[in-house]
Amino acid sequence: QQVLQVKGTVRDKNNNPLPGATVTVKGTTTATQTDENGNFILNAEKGQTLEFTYTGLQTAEASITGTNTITVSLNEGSQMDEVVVIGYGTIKKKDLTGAVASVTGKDLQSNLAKSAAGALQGRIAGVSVSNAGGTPGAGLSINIRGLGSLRSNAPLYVIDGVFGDINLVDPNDIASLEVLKDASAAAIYGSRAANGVVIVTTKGGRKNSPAVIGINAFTGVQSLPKKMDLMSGPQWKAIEKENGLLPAQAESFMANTNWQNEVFHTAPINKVNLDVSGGGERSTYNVSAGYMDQDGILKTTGYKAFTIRTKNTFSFFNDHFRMGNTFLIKSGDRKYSDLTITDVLRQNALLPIYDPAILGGYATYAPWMKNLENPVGFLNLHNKHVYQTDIMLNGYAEADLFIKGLKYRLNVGINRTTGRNYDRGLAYTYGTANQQSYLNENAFFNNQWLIENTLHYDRTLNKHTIHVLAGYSAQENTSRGFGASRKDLPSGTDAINAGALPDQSTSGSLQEAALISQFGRLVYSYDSRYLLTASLRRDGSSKFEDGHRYGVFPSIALGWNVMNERFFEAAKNTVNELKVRASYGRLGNQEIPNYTTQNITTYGINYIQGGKLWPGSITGINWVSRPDLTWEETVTSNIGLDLAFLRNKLNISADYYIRDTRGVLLNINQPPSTGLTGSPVMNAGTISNKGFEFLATYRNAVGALNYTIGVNASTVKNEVSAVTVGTVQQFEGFNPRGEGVVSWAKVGYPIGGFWVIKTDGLFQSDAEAQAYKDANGNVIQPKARGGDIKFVDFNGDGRIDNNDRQYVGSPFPKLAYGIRGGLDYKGVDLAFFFDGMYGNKIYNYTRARMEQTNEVNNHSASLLNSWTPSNTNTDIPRYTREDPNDNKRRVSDRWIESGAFFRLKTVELGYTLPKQWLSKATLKNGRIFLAADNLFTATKYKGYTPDLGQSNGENGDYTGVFSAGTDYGRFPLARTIMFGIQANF
Amino acid sequence: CNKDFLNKVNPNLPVEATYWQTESDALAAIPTIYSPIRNQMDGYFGAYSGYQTLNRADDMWFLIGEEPFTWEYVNFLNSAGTAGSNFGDLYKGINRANVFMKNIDRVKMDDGKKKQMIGEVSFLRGMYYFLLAANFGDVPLRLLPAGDDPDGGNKPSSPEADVWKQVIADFKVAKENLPVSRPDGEKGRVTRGAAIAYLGKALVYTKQYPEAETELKALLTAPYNYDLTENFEDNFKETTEFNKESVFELSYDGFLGSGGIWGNDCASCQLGFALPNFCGPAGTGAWFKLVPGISIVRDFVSEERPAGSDTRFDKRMYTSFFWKYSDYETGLTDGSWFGNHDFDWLWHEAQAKMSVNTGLTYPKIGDKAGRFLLKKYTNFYKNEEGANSMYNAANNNNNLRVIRFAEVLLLHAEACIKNGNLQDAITDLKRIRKRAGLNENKTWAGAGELMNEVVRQNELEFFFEGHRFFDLKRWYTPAEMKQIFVTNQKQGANNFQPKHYYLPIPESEINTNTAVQQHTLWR
Repeated sequence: QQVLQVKGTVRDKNNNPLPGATVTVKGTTTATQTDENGNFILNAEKGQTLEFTYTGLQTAEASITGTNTITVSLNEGSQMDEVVVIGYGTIKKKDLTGAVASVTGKDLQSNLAKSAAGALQGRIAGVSVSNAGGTPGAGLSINIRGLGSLRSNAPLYVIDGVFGDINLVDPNDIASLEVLKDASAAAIYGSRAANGVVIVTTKGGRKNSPAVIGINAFTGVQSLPKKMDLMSGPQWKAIEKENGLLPAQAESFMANTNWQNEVFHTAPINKVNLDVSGGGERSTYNVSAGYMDQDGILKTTGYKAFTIRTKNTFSFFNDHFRMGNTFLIKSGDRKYSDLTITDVLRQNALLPIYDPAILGGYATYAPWMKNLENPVGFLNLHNKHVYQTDIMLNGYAEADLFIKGLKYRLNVGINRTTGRNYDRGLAYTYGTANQQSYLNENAFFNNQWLIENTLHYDRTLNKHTIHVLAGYSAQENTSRGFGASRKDLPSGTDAINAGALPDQSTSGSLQEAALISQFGRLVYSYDSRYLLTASLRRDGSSKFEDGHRYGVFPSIALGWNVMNERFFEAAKNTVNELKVRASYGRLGNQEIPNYTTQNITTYGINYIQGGKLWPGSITGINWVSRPDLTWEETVTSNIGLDLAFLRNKLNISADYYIRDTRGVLLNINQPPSTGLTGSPVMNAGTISNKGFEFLATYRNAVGALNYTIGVNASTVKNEVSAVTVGTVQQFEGFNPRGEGVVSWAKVGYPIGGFWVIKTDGLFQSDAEAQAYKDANGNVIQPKARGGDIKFVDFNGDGRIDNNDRQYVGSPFPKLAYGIRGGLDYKGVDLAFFFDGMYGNKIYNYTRARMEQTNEVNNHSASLLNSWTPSNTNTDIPRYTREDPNDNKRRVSDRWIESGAFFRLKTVELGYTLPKQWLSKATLKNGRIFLAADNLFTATKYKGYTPDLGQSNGENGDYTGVFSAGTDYGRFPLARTIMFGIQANF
Repeated sequence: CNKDFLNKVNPNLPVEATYWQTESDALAAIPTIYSPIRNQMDGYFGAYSGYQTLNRADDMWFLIGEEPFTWEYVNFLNSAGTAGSNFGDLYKGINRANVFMKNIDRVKMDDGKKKQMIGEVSFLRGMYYFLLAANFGDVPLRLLPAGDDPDGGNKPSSPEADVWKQVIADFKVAKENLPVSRPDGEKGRVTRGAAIAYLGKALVYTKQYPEAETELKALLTAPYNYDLTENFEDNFKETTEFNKESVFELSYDGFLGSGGIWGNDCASCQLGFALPNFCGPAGTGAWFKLVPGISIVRDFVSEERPAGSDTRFDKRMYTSFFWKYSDYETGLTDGSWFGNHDFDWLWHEAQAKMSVNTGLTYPKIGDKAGRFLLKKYTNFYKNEEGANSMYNAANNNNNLRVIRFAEVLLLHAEACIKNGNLQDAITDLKRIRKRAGLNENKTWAGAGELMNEVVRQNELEFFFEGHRFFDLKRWYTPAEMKQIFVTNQKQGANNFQPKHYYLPIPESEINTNTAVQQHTLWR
């Protein structure tokens, strides 16, 4: 046969050269890799077939027909050939039995992602990424498949094999994100996987490729997309006067401050990333650095951070011994403000911003006004930072052992966080009192180490493919912190030492936790038809007492690739893929504070003897948990289906799951007669989540136009299904400022369901109010008059009180969905992403505070339409200070709103620079883009944003599980518009 | 890794297993047991909830518009859900005493001192159970820390009689082990005299009169040298604390603790006495929550002092109420208080709140309208503007006399009458009357009249000291008690039902303790 020298180029679907692709002569060992320009040369015989492979892309083949150069474009990988990262290894997607969703670097290239968590938003069915705070540098709230716990619902993050914080990773450095949703997929992480696992793999280099420099930079502006419509100073004066309520002293106030305009501004955001990657015969490298500088739309807030990362691999002894590492440093300065957002909305417009005559220089509320901070003064008089440096070091060594397919791996990870909270306040006048200046600093030091030893055995023998894993790991977390504070610092000073001694305080604490685990997994596939995954993990936690500290977490999953059956052969042209999956498994959660079972000494309960202080201390006065406290367990059953049609252009994946969390770790109130304070954590009940997830993607090309469209949708039904302690089967939830409990966890209902008194319009006259009677003829709302709200006497007892509460919905959407689309045509690309929710409710406490009329503060402009005898066509009750009917009552559906929304979350338009321009600039490739975030939101919700996940508690907000779907003055989400470039040299 | 890797002991504070080694560990536990009873806010004898709740009898009148819970208690409209019950606070003291008893054996120290401490802690536990039994009747009897109790939080109520047995047993241990007197450096800690007085009180409450008489009689002679102070007023001033009448006194000092007035049980919590701020009249820096009841005024003026006395009325009345002397008597200079304000000014300031209280009209004296304001436990002895404001630590320094020798005398008299020993009862009553400036030569025809004298003297002597409700409960059936309240024009008298003998076990207990049942009368 004739041996030819075959030349060619391998390109990606955007026609960019693809360095590092493997070209193999099919059926031989002859192979080569493409060079930096995607070119290859190798010898082969005419009639042989070349196979082109590249991780993450579809394999292509080409026959050798002559001496022509061969040009091949590799398309993005079909699902069937994708390799998916699972815990402690990878697996071909076709052999996967669990519910795993994956987002690869290509999809992550959306440059809008300011954080890695943001990159997940709306991409994966069943994964909810929502807004926790909105201030720059604040995290996002991520839930996988509903709320299972009344404690932490955050998933476990594994970054290049180390447990860490997803916020450590720059989105630009991510090669892939995999979300392990069901028990089978996550069980190998047993102890901490009950809320799902997110595996983050960072970008590496490629073997045999010269160094490539990549640059990625954008600049943009953020703005407040929506403002609350508030009364102006003259409007407020007029309505107060009209109702005879204007305080006499208010007449002389002439200012008309628009506080929203004063505290929010258009803020710049800039980010630049640089990376160098490449590799030799035995090693690869990727070094990257990033810098971000973001101002918040709330003045004085912002975030600055840089990251440096390096990922290397090395191989020795003919690739039988491999080593690698990821080192990562992130150093940030987050400047935040805990300004209460509702103060901005309620502060009287008649108050000027400045008052040079008083201490601090900012005007303070007049005696007749509601005592609220001057928002501008508060922002400028307080200076709060979190300075934090995170270091993550991961190293591994892997050796092939004597039996073929057997290898040993040692993985070591270290995480260190050191930082300082800085909180400085200047002296100012608040009302009639002077607030002292102060400085409060806290240093914190967190250390975590992890050692994992694993044995892997991977073999394919005829039709049998097996992967066996056995492992042992140990980890320890230590956090130490201390702080000091003093008051009355002379101006010009900025250190604790400058403060006055009498009011100083110090604090400090040490926390230690450890975990030991053994685990094993078997993955077996017969003929790629019948698939089995079974795993077992045993974890011991220092948070529980000896005898109760070990949890055993098994899982099993089965899969059936129906399309590989002989009988399916005929249908395979129509249905290209058909896989059925089923799994069952148990996972654990131990997210409780350390030492909860240990009885400690309490100091500082004092008395007096002989006229002098008699300091007291004693043990056993606060509740500790019983020693039998143990793991919270989540049992998940999952069935799923993967389908492909139209020659793999249409892919559909659907899952149904039932997820029961048993022995929920919860603080349970105890009888006062025990004489102990606090409440012990107990294994207290069962929470169940049932859900359906659906994902469909369609890719096609029309001529030079390539396009994809993807839809994901999920539903979840959350329910507290049992409470096993106490006599009252419910727990209180959201209780804004102690004004009334509006959400609950009750058996048979979702966590955080809203129970409120329903309203039924307004009484149009005093007579109508007095005519509202119960069956016995009692007037139900004796104090009501025309223009007051009619409340529904749900229990029919003739009066309106908290016993008339009824269930009106929950913060859980009936449907959450995302629609992504992308197209490219001759170098122009467009990507968009819509997301939305339907059927969820929001408790708008911010509006409650803006519309209550009993206090002397500013209100929503909607109150200009208050009921009067001559303005009866309105749903706003009469404007009254006394409010004898309690129209403002918190436990009322007046403040419940629909949280449904449909939003254009991101849109991005890019242009890939033509080759001829690039060569002049010695660029390999280049792209410019214009992108926008939160461009428009269609919603009936009256607050700033309906995207209300679990709050982080800043800005006067409320935290915890029950904060989801409640608006306590949440920091508004910004709209961002950016312009950027990407280039490789 | 070895097994110890997972054993993490809290390094922040000593854990119980390693604490309780030295005498100082044991000694430091004791103030924590006193704390709940004396808390400046929400303590039983503090101010906010406890002291208001326990004055729910006819000698006091709560002004409309104060905290809804106090209004509900005094009008007998309270329910298990009404706030302000001190149920849990009293159990805090009991739990701490139980923790002490559990661990004291492990402490290495002098045996004599240890016994004294055991006596002191027994006293405190006995007192807490006394207050629970008197207020709530049947309650859970806990003698182990709840964490060590196999039942944990879930414990049924014991019958009231069993609770009283525990009270008496604890006071007997206290009596055996406590010293007769304390050195100056230990002033404020309980003594054997306090234990005997409380033991006697418990015996009278449980109608065990012969034993009560014996116990209480011991306090009338050496080694005890208790006596009534000449000036009744000395029991209510910070300058005359720990006087010879003081049997059990709670210490307060507004200058101890920098953390302001609202906290309890914390290192920086102020250890001040907040009662003046709650009960003082309007305009004196106080919140003016209550005034004397109608019947107490009637009863004070019903027996005038003998002709030729320096005042017209019972001397105690001048410490109990503010009024304008010249309205009703001659020869006395009218008083002025709180920065030289006269009574007319005080009365004027009070009207905004008092005038809306329908039914609150004091009996006429002669042809003059009765005008009275509460004086006892205000800072009347400080002639300073705003002297009742608790925001100035200097105003929070008075001590609360929980048991005065006057009470020992009246309890002893009561026991003697029940035992037929009328002569000793008469001797006690004459001491009380003499100090009050009343006719010392009064005679009584038999036990019935003497008992009426005991009732009257308790009412007058202990006005606003929280005794009256429990006294009436001891002497009268619910129906009689209701009649007394109606006759005495007590607010809410018509709402009184047998169940109001007791406070209900609070809802927070019923909702969490699966074994407990509400008091029978409250079901």
